Amino acid sequence: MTDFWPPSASLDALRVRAGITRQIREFFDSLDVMEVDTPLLCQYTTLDPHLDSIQVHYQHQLVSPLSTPAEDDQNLRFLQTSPEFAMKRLLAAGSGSIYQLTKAFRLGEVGRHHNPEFGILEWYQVGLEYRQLMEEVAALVTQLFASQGKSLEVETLSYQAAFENTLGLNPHICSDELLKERVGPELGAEVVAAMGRDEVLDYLFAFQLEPTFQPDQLTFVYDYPLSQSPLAKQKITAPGAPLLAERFEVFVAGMELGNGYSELTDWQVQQQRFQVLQQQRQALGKSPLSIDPQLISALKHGLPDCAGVALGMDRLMMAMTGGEQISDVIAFPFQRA
Amino acid sequence: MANYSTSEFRAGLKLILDGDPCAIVENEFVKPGKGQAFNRVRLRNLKTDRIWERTFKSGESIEAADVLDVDMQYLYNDGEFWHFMLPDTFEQHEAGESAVGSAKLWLKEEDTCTVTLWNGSPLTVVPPNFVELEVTDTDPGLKGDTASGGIKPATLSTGAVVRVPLFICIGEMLKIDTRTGEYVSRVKSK
Repeated sequence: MTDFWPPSASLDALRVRAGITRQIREFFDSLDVMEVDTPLLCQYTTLDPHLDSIQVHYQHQLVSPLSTPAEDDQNLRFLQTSPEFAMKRLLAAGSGSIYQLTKAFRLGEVGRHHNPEFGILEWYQVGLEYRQLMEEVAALVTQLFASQGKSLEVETLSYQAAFENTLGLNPHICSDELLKERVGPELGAEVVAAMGRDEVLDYLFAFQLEPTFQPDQLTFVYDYPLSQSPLAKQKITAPGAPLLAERFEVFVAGMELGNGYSELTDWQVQQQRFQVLQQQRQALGKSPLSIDPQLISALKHGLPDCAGVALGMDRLMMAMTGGEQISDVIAFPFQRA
Repeated sequence: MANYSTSEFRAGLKLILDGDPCAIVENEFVKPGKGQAFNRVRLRNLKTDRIWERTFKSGESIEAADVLDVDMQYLYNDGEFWHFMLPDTFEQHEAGESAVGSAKLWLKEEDTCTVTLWNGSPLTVVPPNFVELEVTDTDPGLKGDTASGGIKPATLSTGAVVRVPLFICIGEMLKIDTRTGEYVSRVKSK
């Protein structure tokens, strides 16, 4: 067994990381965006069917035969998968623009680009919409790269253009059959047949589109299908046109770096979308989860028009330092934690 | 029948794919945005030794292959099968040509080999890294020529032909690296 006491990241990488964190704080200070701190242990969590939360007990397990399942549930907390719900409650309370450097946790996500516990930079700009926030993300990331003596070109294209450029297909209107034909033989035929449209789109995006993005370029992809954007504002399009969300993703060095959108502010629409997610989770055989009533109440009270984005700090560090795997930029990754 | 979930995937894990036993060589977790996650896997087909690339939806479960590596002593070849024995239980297994493959060139009686069993039958045979075999045929040796660096073919008791220095003679025992099929040294007669 290898001795796992020393950090897996070099001390040089950790020094760069410390400098980058400082610069991020300066960037937001200069924009008058307030730093906030929200809980990691939460009563409610994401309902996203493809995101699973790590559950923990916050006190000794109840062993009394008189304790009810409801009491046992009260003993459970989720490690947050992102600080989104709590930050939106602050926005609804009138915080104005806010940012947070924190940790997020995702069950089962371990790999070259994944650590189950990872650094996240999330911020919300009141009064901005998603395209303006994309510009701010580009400004921050290119500035951070420049501080390391690296220049970074910025490329921006729509989700539709990304598919058309690589596959010659319009992802919003082409048939499920045409999309499935493009999935390679490496995924079993019966598996492909059982996949939903969004799953097929995800697959094609990850395996056939992402590899075409230039690694030394910051690539923004925007206007995602609404069905893939449960917390984003719907983009206004002509009647009968495909339903799109004001959402973007940003990629660098062959990795997804971040995800952002104009925030959905309508509590009723949000509640309906959460119910759809609950049904999707059920269809996948996943455990049922409650809708966060605190978030819904906050939206009822009124979320200001704003746009928000989350960037993976560890991946940002990998891209800036040329790290091959996430353990190159984390002192003690999962395996050594 | 046991199954493995994609979350258990790691290098070395043995699975059944398309009816063949395979070993995972590399497993990569790929997750597009907040969408469906996939495991992109490179596997070695243990029957054919070919590398396969497959992708699984994360959460899928795949049948486990009942495959295990055991050390066995090689006994003899009866013309059709190669016979091996587990040294502790004396349990014997016979391996056919497809399982033995190129290992047959390096099998010497009583040597310990690694035999991969699938459902209890030999699937592949790996000889020891080094074997000592007798030269049965080669051109007459140039005694004392240990400096010229010349090379000639020599046939060994198993039928293997290896390239050896000119000074090697019939009847000598040679140490061979079975991974490369290369001559290593002469073995001093005891």
